[in-house]
Amino acid sequence: MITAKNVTDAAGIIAAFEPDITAALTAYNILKTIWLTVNPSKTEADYKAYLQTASQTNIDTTTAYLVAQGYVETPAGSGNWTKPTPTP
Amino acid sequence: MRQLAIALLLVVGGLVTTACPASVKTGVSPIADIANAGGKIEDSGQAIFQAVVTAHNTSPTTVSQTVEDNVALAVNKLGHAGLALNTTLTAYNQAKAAGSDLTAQKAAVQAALVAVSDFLASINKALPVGTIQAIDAIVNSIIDIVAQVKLGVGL
Repeated sequence: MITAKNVTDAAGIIAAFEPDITAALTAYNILKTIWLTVNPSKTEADYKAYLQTASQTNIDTTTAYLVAQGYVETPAGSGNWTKPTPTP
Repeated sequence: MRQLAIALLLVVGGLVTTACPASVKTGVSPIADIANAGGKIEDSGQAIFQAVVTAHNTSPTTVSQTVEDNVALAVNKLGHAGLALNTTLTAYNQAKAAGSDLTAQKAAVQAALVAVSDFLASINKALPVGTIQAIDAIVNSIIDIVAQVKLGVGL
């Protein structure tokens, strides 16, 4: 028998999973677009520029994030990150 | 509902696997194919990073701060690996234009491509199993595609 409690519980369970499903669906749709995109009339230099730009974007966005989280890159631009332990 | 969504995503994830190789091949040159695959991998890393950031902001219990940090660290390394891959592609072209022996250059390109795919795998590992299941499946699909690219590299 379905009761108000059942419905509430079910709604709560679904709500708890929504971030998971939403993030997964969003990521999937973006990934699908990336992998199915065809770039006609591009030259070898264009594809190399694409690789360069996408790589630099990953570095730039994550660097901004990691710095904001208190990580330190040593030496700068190396990709070697540590998070100093806060001194009491 | 969750299992249905996950099952759906796994199914369409499989479609990505089968549909991707054709889009990776550029018809321009092997160097263009590798650069294209590398660029798509880099874009995928960014998409996953953004999804993780969104998931963390929406539900910190679904994606913890530690997971978010680990994904960011992995995507940062992926970016550096992508730049390294591009450097090896440039070196290959320069050696080819100079008429030099390309054995070492081919090996360098392969190694750089392996590094890129390994860092993509590390992004997947940074996401605990069950965190964002569909991403697990998609990353594995992409790694399979990279393996196909490596096998098909016609340098």
